[in-house]
Amino acid sequence: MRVTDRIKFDAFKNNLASIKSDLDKAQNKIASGKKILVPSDDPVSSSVAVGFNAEKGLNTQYGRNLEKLKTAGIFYETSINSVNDMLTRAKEIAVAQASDNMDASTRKSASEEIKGIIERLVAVGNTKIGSNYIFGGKKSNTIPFSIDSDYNVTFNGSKEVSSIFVDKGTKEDAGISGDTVFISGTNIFDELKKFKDALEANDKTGIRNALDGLDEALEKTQTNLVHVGTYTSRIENFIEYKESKDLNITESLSQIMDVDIAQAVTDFNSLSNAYEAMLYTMSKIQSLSVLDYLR
Amino acid sequence: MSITSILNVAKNAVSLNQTSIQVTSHNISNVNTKGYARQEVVLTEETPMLIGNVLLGNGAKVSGIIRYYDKYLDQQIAKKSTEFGEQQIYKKYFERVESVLNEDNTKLTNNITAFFNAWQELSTDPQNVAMREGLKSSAQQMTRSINNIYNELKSLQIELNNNVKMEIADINRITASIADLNNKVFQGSSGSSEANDYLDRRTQYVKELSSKIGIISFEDEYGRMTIMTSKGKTLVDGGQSWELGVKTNEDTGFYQVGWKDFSGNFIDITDDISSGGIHGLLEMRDNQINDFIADVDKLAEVIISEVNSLHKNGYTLNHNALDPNPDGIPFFKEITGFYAKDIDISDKVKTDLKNIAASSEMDEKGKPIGNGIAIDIAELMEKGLFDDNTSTIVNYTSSITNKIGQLTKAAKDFAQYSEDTMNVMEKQREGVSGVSLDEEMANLIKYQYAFQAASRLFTVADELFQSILGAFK
Repeated sequence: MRVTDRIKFDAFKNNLASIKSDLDKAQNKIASGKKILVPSDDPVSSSVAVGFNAEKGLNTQYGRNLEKLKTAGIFYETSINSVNDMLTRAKEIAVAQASDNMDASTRKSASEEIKGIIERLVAVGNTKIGSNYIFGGKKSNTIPFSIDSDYNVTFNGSKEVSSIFVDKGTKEDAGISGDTVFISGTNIFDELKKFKDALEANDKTGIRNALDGLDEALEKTQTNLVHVGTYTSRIENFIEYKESKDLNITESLSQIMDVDIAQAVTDFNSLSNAYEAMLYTMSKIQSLSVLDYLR
Repeated sequence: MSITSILNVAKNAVSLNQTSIQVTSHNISNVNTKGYARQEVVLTEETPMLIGNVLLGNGAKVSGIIRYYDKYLDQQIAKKSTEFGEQQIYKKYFERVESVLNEDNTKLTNNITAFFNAWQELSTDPQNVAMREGLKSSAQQMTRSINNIYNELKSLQIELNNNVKMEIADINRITASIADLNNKVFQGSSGSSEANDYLDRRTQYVKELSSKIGIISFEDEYGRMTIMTSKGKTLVDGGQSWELGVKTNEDTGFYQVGWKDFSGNFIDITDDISSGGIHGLLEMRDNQINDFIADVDKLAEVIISEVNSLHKNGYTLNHNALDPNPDGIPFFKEITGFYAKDIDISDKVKTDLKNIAASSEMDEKGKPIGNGIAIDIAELMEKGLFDDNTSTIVNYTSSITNKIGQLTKAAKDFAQYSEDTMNVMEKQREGVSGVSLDEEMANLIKYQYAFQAASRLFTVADELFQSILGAFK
């Protein structure tokens, strides 16, 4: 075949362009740390990566939701614990005041303490995180417990609680309603009120009856404590699951997208060697001309 | 036989070697001219003289200047450049579309996820007004990224449309030049160096024209080239060329391509153009980009309708306590037609964050309670809303990435393939027609020596004259 100057030059030009574009790509990979720079580099992996990235975003949100539930769980645990403590104290008082040794005046002063307990329990029932009442159920913006001068306590919240997502397709109750903790089954406030009324009336039988009610209230509270305990540990489990999922996604994404730096640098070096070799041979070949031998 | 005839032979020899040197220098100066085919002087023996009964050689003469070319190869190159031109357009524009749709740039899926996450965030504190600010801004970010994609695809379409017009103008320029060269070839004597240059230029034009539109070409008996579109509309015949033109289609707002007959009637040939760069432009403009616009439109439409139908069933913070029914306020503007172009949050939500409905129920006082709507809207992320309820939103956006990735990859591969084949053919052509400086230098020396020898003849003839004239002194 006839090889003209143009053929040599065009070959040089084309090779130069292709090696330079390869070099550019290799360099971009190293600089960005990614092996897929545009979808056409690997359409399937790019689209999988889109899915993984969305998953990552969702997971982050589940993480935020779970953190909130975890914080709320601590509040519930503390609150129900103090309900337990106060009921225990009320029971101690009841046991003591049920004795024949006590008289109207000791019972009167004990009733003052019970009043204090009722007030403190109402305060516990109205615990807030931010602007939300944790025992309000769905009505988290309405004050859940109100008390009148006769120590009648009414529940204004909702029996139902909202639920939020903690994972794809999985919802978890966003807390426990005040109804469950204070009202339904054994009404803690009613029992305390009955006890207080019996103390004020110096009614020994009444006090003994109230003791039974307080026992039931305590029992219920302990059940609730267990309930909260399982609730928080469930949340902990979700958090662990979410974290391992995060790790998996990050790893999968990195496998798809991240460049193997050692490989990329090796590629880059071999390309730049090829580039130099080409320049060298071209400078040799281009200088071969019959003109050099004519004068 | 006379000394004069020696002088005559010498004169011819000097002149034809000068011609050869002239052609060689023409070759040398055109070493880098695109489409140039090297030329060579063809020498033949001069008619011999009959001296007595002996035929005596009478030197040489120039019988023509030939052009080294392979007609078949040139035609193949022209044909190949039709494919090449089209593939280059696909590569260029698919890469542009790819960058418009590249998630790294648009963050589309990220923004969609953030939008639905904001609903989840609101679900953790549904009546909180401040939290709605975050929802609003993430909604705006999402709608903006959809708007942007639409706008950029649209402006690509407009750019393609303008390019159609420019390419048509280019085609008209080329066909006019070919017609002009046809005339020159017809008038010029064939075999002259000048005519050869016209042929080179015409070959080059035909190649350029082929890259823009698929053509059929053939030469008539006088070497003039007739060119027709692949559907048989004449573009060049002899010294005459026919123009193509564009006309705006009122429905699409884009140019239709037409062929103008003798009386200037515009005959629409848009659908007849099936290859070449123009076809690439039309295909990108009318099918490919529209396809992606339709995809983004569908995405916007589904998001608007699904979110709105849930949101309208919700109770806002502005709920009228006496009204037992949901507020029916749409979250997104309710639009028809250009969903991706116009997707935006509704004016009510834009002006008052309390108009966002997070709750699906109200209490006895008429106040919204719970997070039912926020949860349901957040759940849309997991629902099959596309492709007969089999694909989620993320499935859908990642399938867009896959689609543009595959198309761009194929376009790049095809473009590379046709470029490679083109290079091989160009190299073959160059092997036949290209100028080799080494060769030309060798020829130059050859002709130079021949010229010197011929000049020497003058001296010899002169000396012969001198001898004869001296004898009579």
